[in-house]
Amino acid sequence: MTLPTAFFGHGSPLNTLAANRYSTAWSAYAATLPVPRAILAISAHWYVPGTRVGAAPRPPTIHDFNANFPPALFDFTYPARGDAELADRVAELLDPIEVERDATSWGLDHGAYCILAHLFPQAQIPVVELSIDRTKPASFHYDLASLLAPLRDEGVFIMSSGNVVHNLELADRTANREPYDWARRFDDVVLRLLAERDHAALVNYHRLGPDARLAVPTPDHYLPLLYTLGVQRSGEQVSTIVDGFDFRAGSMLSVSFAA
Amino acid sequence: MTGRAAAFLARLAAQTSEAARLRAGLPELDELFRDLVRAAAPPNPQFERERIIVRLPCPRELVFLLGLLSEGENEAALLLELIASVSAVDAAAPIEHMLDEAWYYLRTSIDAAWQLDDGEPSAAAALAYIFAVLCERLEALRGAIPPAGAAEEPGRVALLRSLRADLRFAR
Repeated sequence: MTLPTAFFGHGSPLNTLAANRYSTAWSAYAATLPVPRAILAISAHWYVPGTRVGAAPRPPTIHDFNANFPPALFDFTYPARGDAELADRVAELLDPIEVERDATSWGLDHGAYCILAHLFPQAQIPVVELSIDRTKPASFHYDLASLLAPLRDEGVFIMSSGNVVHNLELADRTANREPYDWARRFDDVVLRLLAERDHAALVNYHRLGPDARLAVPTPDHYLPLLYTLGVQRSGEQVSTIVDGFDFRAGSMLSVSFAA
Repeated sequence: MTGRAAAFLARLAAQTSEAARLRAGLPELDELFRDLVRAAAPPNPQFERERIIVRLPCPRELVFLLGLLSEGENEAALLLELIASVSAVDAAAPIEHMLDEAWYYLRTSIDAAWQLDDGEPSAAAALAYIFAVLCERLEALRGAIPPAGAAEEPGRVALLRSLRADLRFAR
């Protein structure tokens, strides 16, 4: 059985604790999933030089946000186990790409647990996080992800977490206003390209014009989408889990691929 | 621009490629980071300050921690280091994505609205810019000049643009 795969727009770390239309949609989506053996999570927030895979038996919850967030968020933990066997399997599949087993420098960041807290609130499924090598171009990430596709037949739910549109400099937190026109246009273009399965255009997003430059000013939050594309199988259709915008410049689009 | 920054800029300009400029300039930037730590750290005689400063594996991170480097400047400086290390291993490795990212962080560290640029990013200009503003901060720490304020922003924009123009290679 091939497990679905999904990309999640995670938005603010506060979504970890929130009950809102996004978290409700994530929970509802999880209810449709077969129970996975393990989860491989690719998060925008483990964006470092090199490809690393989490190898801690009990990955710590990383509170990777500033001190202005409420204490309850710093108190939150996601106590899932790690999965050394899955970490080894990831390294095996990615060979000859050098993969560092990382048991000390990272754990689960908010890009991962913000979503996992709603998908699997009991934290009963082992989770392994995979870093995004920030020294590599977009095509590398797409190609790397394609090597991971067999995991979907091995009971592993591959989820990535970022934001299709993510421009913190232009985020407007003063009111819940409509998204910027360029943000909505880019979100629409991405959704169309996903439906058309135009992976080349999505990998070469920087060629999609000024809207793309505003929507993806830095690659970190967009690249997770390419991991979900990389493991997509022919014949699989995209379905929207939830969409919307936060702070005018943050797309909450979440999509799933399944046969 | 301080005399130290002007001399640094001249040394960069004398190099014949962007890669050579990074190779030549990054060690000097590291030394400037150490000078900032020296200027910012209290002179405690019971503390082997100099030994620790000299051995700092990444003085940039401590300068950032001390609040002497903004988040955008820190990201840009880190990316310049990554470009240099990737290029050292493979001179043909793609680095444009990192340069774009560094340039974005740097220009929006000056003006968040400077989203769409009208020129090519330049690693050497980014390096020279960071060096120049840190030289000013070092002088301010030493009390030689007043700290820069928000009113400096137009000057910073002009500085980054002029460095890009000055360090452009003829195509």
